[in-house]
Amino acid sequence: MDTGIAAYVPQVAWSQIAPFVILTLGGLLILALDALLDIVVKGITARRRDGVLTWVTAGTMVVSGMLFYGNTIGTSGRPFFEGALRADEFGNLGALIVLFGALVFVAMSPRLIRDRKLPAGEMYALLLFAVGGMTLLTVANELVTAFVCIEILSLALYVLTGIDRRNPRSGEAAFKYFILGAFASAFLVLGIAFIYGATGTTQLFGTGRLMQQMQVSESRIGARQLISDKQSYDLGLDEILFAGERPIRTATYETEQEGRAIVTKTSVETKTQPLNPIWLFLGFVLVLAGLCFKLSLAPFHMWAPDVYEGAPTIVTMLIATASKVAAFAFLIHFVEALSFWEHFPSASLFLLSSVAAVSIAWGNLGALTQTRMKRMLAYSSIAHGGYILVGVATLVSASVFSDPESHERIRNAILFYLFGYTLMNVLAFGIAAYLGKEGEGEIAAYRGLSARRPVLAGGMALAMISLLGLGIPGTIGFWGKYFVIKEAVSSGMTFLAGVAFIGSALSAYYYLRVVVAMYMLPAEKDEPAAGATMQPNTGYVFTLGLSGALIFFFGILPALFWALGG
Amino acid sequence: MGADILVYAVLYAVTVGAALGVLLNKDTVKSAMCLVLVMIALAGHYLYLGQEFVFAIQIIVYAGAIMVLFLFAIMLLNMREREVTPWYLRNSRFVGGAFALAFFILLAVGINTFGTIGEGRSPAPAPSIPELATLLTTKYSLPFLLTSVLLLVAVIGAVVMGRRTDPETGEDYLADEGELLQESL
Amino acid sequence: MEPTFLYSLILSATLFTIGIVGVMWKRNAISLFMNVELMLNAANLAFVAFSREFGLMQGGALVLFIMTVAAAEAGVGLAIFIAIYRSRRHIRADEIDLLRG
Repeated sequence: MDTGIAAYVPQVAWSQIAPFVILTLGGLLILALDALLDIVVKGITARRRDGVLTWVTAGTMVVSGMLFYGNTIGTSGRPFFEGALRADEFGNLGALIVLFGALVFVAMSPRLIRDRKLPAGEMYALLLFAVGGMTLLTVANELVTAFVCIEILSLALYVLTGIDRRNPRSGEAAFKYFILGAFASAFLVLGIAFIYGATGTTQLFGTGRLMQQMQVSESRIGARQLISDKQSYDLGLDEILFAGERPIRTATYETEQEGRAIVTKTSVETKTQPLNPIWLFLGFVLVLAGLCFKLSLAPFHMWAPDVYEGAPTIVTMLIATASKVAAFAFLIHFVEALSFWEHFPSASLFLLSSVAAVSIAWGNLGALTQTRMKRMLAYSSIAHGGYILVGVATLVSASVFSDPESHERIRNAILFYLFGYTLMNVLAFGIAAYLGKEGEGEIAAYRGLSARRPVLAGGMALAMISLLGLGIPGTIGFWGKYFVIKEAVSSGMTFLAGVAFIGSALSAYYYLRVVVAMYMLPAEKDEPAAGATMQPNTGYVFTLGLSGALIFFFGILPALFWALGG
Repeated sequence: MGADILVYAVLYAVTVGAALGVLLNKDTVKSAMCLVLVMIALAGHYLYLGQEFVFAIQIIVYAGAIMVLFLFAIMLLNMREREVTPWYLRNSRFVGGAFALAFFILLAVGINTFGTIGEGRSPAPAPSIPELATLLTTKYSLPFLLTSVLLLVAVIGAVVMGRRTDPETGEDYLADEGELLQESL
Repeated sequence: MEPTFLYSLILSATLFTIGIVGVMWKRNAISLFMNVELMLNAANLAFVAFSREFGLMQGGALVLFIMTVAAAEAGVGLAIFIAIYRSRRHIRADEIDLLRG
């Protein structure tokens, strides 16, 4: 039978996908080593074996990060791998931030593994696969690819959350995370279905060839004519939305009498048809709702405090930093592609702004009443998600299409915020985990910490002041908020900027409460015995020091950050 | 045309009825059986829409594999239990119901905007299996590769969460968890 | 406009809504997760309906991915339920509440 399908070999840009391939191969290597080290090397201790696994994991990530950095310089921003991926500078730098968060996790994990007797091999393999999913998500250019990536990272994070099998809270956190995460991915899928139904494609950005031709003709009518002789799956959302029309295949059937048999002849032709704006908007709302669950933005944030509290602290750190950075990078690419639709700003700005405002309000108000450190940080991260979403809303108001220059500036501001947010949370969660039971529980346990552990108290104070942001320049958190709010004001989003400002002012209460407890209040009487927790490894101390130093460094010279991107 | 509408009415009634059965049944096993019925009815729907491939995998993967997994979990752990509280006694259920109703209205309004679509034509024929295979190895080759990673993650995850004893020391997770649970209560 | 298309979409919306109601009403985690499967099935139907209506080809391929994801989710999810069940002897979602505040 002639199927009419020619043999086809996909073109693979190996240098572009090498970072992901290495992460996945690293995961497989970890699984193999975990199983074989005991057999191959006689008499290896569990500690030695876990050490080897840690170094292999860290090495994989470093190599992958170096390849990413190599790709960042001189990136073309063209889709590759059949349009499934598109590595612009933003995506690649986002992937580097994700890898940074994951490397910190690896540096901090040996103590947790020894302390709670966790299975190192499974943990690192899951971590590497999750990081592969996250980094792919930051450069994903196709909705289904993004969905599969989100599922990979979510499934791995559910299990990492519940990996401390001896602690019932850990299992409970995994349970809640799983139920709400699965619920959210159903919304995501229906949203993708509606976007697909409205436009006929699942790819965000097209090859750009059509856009170039459009610039020649400089009109939507010209774009429509070009759309009409293409297959829908060759086109990107940006092209179809710009044209305002979609290709549609229709068939006409003709029956003919040939001798004694009736033969049906089918002829298929491609035409264009106007977009259905309501389906498109419905798709956007549903995808946004699904992503809000993953990003713990209000009103879909309810899982965050419980999961943050129940998960092992460094896993919480991974959820709060790396997975959020990846999901935000995807959200921004998604919104950028949709902003080629002429009705998009008017249709979506109110929605994005209200999610941002409600997240800021809910996060800050919720954090006020918290007495436990990790719950407080959970609400704080809901509020910070809101601040970043202020940036995203600003990005929509100045679309790539109409105002590319300020678009670029806002994107840089958001990237800087994400980097600062990662550093601050790494420091805060890292110190909380360092202090063990004392640091992960009640905030009251931090009383008098400056006398007992002056260096750690100083680090925690730095993290808190940086998370607070406004008020005290000289930390990365200050500049992050400053850039985002400045861009919001100059784009005319004064209401959102005001909400972000008031929210920051409110947050002074709960961030400074920790500082006051550490420096001004006397220790509680039943001071926990020193040395109750295991001594951390060198890598742990090093990463804490490094993130503290970076918070200072970029707090003083924020402009250097963009110099890194080339 | 009349026959079409009849077939649709029957399929719709069976699917929605079975879905309501999933929702309202108080017995977990009966709920699961209703879900199997929903999936088979949907498979019929796919067949009627001319999607033989989707029909086949719907039966094999969904109604077969996934539902067996559900029943396995229910029966293995004897989790067959009844929902005790009647739904109307719980306030949160009204909120949930109201939210869902609003959502349905939103969807229905959204779906109902078919006026913009051209009238009087027939859609192109459903893709054949070779065409699908081409899509999976070209356009969707990356997600197709990624599903293998996804399934590997799922296998590792299920092993980590499902095992009974610590692989190193051989001690039972269960006993320890019970102690901790008592401690924290 | 084929009437079958409209029927399929309405059916999809109905199933999705029943799934949402189920997730909010059910107490037993397994019944709750069954409703999530119902929602995914509804989305599948929407994919197929759209794909057929506009003469697109991706529908079947996309459904394949969603089924794979659903199977992976079911595997991990049921393992998590089993882990919870072992330590608590029940999986009633509203009674699993060590974490509160």
